[in-house]
Amino acid sequence: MTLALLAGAVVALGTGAAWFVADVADWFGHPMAISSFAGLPVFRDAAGNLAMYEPYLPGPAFTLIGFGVVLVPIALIHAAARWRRRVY
Amino acid sequence: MAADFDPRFDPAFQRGYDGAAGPVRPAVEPARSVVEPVETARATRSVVEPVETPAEPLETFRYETRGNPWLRALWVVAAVFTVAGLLATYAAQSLMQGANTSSAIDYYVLPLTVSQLAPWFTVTGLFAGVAALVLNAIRWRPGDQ
Repeated sequence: MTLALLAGAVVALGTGAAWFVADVADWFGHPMAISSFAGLPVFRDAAGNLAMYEPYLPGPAFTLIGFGVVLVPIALIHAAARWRRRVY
Repeated sequence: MAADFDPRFDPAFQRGYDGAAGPVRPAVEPARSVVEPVETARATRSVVEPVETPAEPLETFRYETRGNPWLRALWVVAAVFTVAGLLATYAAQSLMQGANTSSAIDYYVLPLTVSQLAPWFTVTGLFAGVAALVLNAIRWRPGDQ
């Protein structure tokens, strides 16, 4: 059970992190055309061109990461509650 | 003379006993009940028969706090997560206030990421600390160091 909880935490953290990276890459890959009326700051992209971006919005990736974070102490609580000193 | 003794009782407590007969147990079987219970075996079995209850829940709480490595790890996680969450909260505030960077990632993504993760770490750290405290409190006995 402890291992299952830890595995769940790892899966949630890994999936959430991958989802987050994909989200950011997708967001960063779609710069907006520069407009003097947008009121957004202007940046230089990797190619050196000026670009502006819509504000990044958080997605479900953060919830998944948070779920994995919560599973870590739950797994530790379960392991601590079952631990007994081995008598040889 | 042993034949004169009342077989229902020990001869040692009857008149005329000189010790020669030796201890004699009462030969009378206990009187049976006049009314035989119907299906006694089934009724007795139903009372005595063990119920399929998993013993694991009770076993789960027979843990030890002294020298428990998982409990130590829980304390460490509680401290690390709480401190990280509080630092992340502070960092998110600083990043949002001083957002004067040349990178879109630093400007948009980093402050939002840190501010989104900070509550998870703070609350989980506090939760882990309370859980570790409760696990210690349950096993605490007067005189424990």
